[in-house]
Amino acid sequence: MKLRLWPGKTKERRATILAGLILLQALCALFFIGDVIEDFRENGHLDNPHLLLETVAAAALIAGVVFLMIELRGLLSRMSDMQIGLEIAHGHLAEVIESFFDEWNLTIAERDVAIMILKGLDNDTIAQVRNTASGTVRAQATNIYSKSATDGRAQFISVFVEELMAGDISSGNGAGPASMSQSTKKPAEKDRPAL
Amino acid sequence: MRKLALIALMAFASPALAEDVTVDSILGKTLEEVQASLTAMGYEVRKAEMEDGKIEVYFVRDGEMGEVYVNPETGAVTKLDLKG
Amino acid sequence: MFIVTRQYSGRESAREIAVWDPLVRLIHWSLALTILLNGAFLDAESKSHEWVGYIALALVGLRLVWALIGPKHARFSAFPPNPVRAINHIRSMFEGDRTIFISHNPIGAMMVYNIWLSVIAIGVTGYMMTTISFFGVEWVEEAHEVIFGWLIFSVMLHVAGVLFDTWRTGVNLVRAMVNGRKNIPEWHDVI
Repeated sequence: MKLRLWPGKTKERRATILAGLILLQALCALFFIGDVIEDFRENGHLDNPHLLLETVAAAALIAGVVFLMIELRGLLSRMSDMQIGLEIAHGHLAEVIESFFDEWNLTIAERDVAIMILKGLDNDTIAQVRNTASGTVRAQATNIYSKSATDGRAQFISVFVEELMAGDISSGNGAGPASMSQSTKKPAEKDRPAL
Repeated sequence: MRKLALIALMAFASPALAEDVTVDSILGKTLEEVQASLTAMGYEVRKAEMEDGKIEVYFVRDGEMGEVYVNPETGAVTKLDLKG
Repeated sequence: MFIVTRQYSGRESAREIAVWDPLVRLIHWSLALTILLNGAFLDAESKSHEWVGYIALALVGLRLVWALIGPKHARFSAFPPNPVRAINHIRSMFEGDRTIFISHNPIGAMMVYNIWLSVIAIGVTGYMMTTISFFGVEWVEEAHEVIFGWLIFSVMLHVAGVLFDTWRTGVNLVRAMVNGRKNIPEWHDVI
């Protein structure tokens, strides 16, 4: 499973289209309602079939707006659930990551960057999110690799993948500081291949 | 004689037969004159002011609304906007 | 309020939070457009001026419905109208508080309600002017114009406020209203 930062472009695009349709339908309803009101003010009654049609059209459009709103809300909820799910899956891993960072003496900024590297963001995107220059991120990444004694991005990431695959991850729930000291080995003692 | 009687009758006629303001109407050269003319025609004057050098009057009659612009130099209507 | 330095954990890194859904953003910029059109470009006596006004009313109406049935951050509950909280927020800002609100902050919330109510008042008085009962009636026209003036002033204040808060918290609020995401700098508490 790719650890993506966002639920995916398709859902976002769909949500935007839904929003556009809601707006469009609302404006169409406005148009018909306006017509009905104007005619009602002129004639004082609504038995004209043309008006009846317009009223039905307006009602249908309004129903459409409400229905689509509920749909959009559902879609947005699913998008955020996915996001939360990812974060929960990270839950156990977070402690492990912390101990590695401690061991390597990463600075706060470097930890920030390191997390984003793990999440699969490239240097330029990281620079955007952190509002700094690409060059700064590159320098920070170099420091991270150097401190972790890895050759680069792929290898750095593999350190953590190793942790995931090393077992004890199934005891996910209740992984707090107490359990961490038992289940996690200090990075220095671990067998790290390909160094 | 008959014609005169008819004309006399029309002069005292109900508002339904009152004169309509048209683009050819001459209404007056001041705010007061224009308002008076319109009122005489059976219109209710809602608002009267100077706008862009013209006399602008909002009026209502029989469920119909309208705006009229009058040139204060000639007293003639320059623009008539009947809103129904 | 000071942020207590605590042991670093992944969640305290700079992060992006999805805040403004597509409908909120669409309505926001459309409303801004209607205000711009009616304020600066369309002739006040024209039919299009009227229609843009009704569209503005519809946009606010749509937003209010969304605030009732929409997602979390768009709802009234996320930014309740509370003048007391707004004043407290201003005070704590001066004290250096850097709390970031996911949805509108308390003073931003007051501005939002102000703008919505103003637009409604302007739209309603505008409609009234097309009815026989209120056609040419002075106070309706006055109200329409005065409240519009207030709206323009409010909009300028709104823009200034947004820029100020962007500077103060480091969260780019304009970009957030474009792409929907707030970029929270590290070490900030988010409410």
